[in-house]
Amino acid sequence: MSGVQLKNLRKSFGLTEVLKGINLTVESREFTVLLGPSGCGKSTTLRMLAGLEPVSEGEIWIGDRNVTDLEPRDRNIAMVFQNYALYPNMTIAQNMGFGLKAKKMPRAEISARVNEAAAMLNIADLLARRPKELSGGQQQRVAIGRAIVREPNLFLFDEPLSNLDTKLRVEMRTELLRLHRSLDATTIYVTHDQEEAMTMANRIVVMNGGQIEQIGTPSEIYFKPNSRMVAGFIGSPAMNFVDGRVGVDGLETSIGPVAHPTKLASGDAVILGFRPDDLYFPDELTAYQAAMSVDFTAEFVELLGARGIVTLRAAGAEFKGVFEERFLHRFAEGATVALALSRDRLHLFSATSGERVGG
Amino acid sequence: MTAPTQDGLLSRRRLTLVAIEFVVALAIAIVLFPFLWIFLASIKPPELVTEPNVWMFPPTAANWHDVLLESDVPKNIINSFVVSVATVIIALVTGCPAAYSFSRFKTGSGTRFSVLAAEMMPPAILILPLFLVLFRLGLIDTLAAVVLAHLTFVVPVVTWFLIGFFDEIPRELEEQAMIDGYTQFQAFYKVILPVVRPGLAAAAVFGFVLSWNDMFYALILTGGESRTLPVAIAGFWTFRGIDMGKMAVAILVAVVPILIISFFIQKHLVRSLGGGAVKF
Repeated sequence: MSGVQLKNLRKSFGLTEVLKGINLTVESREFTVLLGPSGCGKSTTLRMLAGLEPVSEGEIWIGDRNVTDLEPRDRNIAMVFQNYALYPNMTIAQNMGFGLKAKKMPRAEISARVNEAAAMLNIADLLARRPKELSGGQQQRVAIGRAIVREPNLFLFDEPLSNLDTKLRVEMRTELLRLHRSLDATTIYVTHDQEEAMTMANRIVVMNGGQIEQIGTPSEIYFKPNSRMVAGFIGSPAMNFVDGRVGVDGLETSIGPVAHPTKLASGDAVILGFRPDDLYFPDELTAYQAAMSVDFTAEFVELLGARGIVTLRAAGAEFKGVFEERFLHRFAEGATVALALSRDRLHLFSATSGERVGG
Repeated sequence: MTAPTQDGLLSRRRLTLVAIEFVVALAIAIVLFPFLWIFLASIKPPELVTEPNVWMFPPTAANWHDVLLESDVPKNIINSFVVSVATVIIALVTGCPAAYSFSRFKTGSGTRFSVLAAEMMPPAILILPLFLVLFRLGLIDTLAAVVLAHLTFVVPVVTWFLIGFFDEIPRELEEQAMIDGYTQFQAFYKVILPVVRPGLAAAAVFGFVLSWNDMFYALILTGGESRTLPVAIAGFWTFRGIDMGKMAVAILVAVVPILIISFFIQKHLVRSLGGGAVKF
């Protein structure tokens, strides 16, 4: 297995620049997820890695080989597409062995490898069938099996789970992780689903507008987002934001003053962020921990099961809070509820650049 | 007013069914009647052939015997067959890669409709230059001339037809093949061509029928040896009158290959013309 390096990778379609200089190192055996809203350039990056899209500028290294100008077939990679791209006129066994046939591998060895991968994925009884006779989940397994048998240097996944229903998606997620552990394969996985990214990745690369916003472990991305964009993109329901200004000793925001030290100069415009999970009842925090207390008006409650999402209103703006089911009775429609913010759970961003400036 | 009873609903449904069956039967009758009429004409004794209202007569095989064994018609059939098969093969060999590139590459996307340019011109405009070129080449009254003329309208139709089929195939399929270790050309003929086979079959039948039926070019470009079947059929209309009986035989013979091909290929044909030839 080999690592991957993208050096100042750029891509333009005509005059539109879709990738504005991507620098990324993926360690060998790492499971890296490229995450971002649609149009952020994550799929283009993956397609360039696969060799399906020519590089406008920059270099791609897989292991110690510069593959920037190599054809897809010379890169020794495997890719799983969103629509699985199974060859409809071939049986499952032929589908899985097609890449090995290109390497002129002896037939006996091909079928041995195919059988091994099929057993690993529980599709051994499907080998004689054709793709259209299979369910979506089974097709997905075949596509993964086809990638495995080639024993590539690098696995690429392009939103492989987004055509599956929710239940199957969660199952396949676990299975992919198990597979990744047993194969110890360097994997780059593209998705727009933050839950997939959070649960599967060793490292997440958040992309936006053709650039990398942040690279980090799932917990770094969640608890220390580098920018307003990352903070707003990760987490569901999304982080709450309030506009504010740096005051003499703390912040002045539209929902009240916040005791929060910052290095910024007095008068600088900032955005204060806090996650819906980080709203506390005042008695839960010590006086030191509490950065501020706000009187919210409850609007309505969406019960999810053990927890519920509460829509709150303060100073004319809407906020979301997440609370355990046993507290939800406090949020009757129109009720005024005092809630506190914790010092160590605040995120502060510059209003001009969007960069993290504290918290 | 009372609500319709179960019985009322049932009988109404049955009535609709009967009406549909009646319309279908009528349509079949309208289509088949001319065949019956032509067949009767082919076995009528010569003195009755001009009497369309006579339905009962002693049948004769004289027309069939004369046309199939003692005329040029078998040769005309072979000519037509050679022309149509050659036209279809050339049209597929050239049209298929053309359609693929129109469907896949940027170079083709804007000029797609230009494929149909020759189709938009009436054949009467094309025939004059075509005749002069073929005359200079010394090809007048050869099968090659007819094939070349037929290619002017069969290639565009076949290409246009196939573009639609290639458009339906997701690009990921050949991208996957390229990642699997094949060149783009290998991906085209190992993965894409087999997938588009129903489309190829449909396009082939379509092209064959177009070429088989053509009389305009064949009439002008051929004379003696290289006459095709439609020209020969028209030849039964002489200045001494129409030889209806023999013409009827030739017409029936001309229809047979089309029927046979359509029969063997109808599954593909219905699937491909009905859209969604390639399901994923």
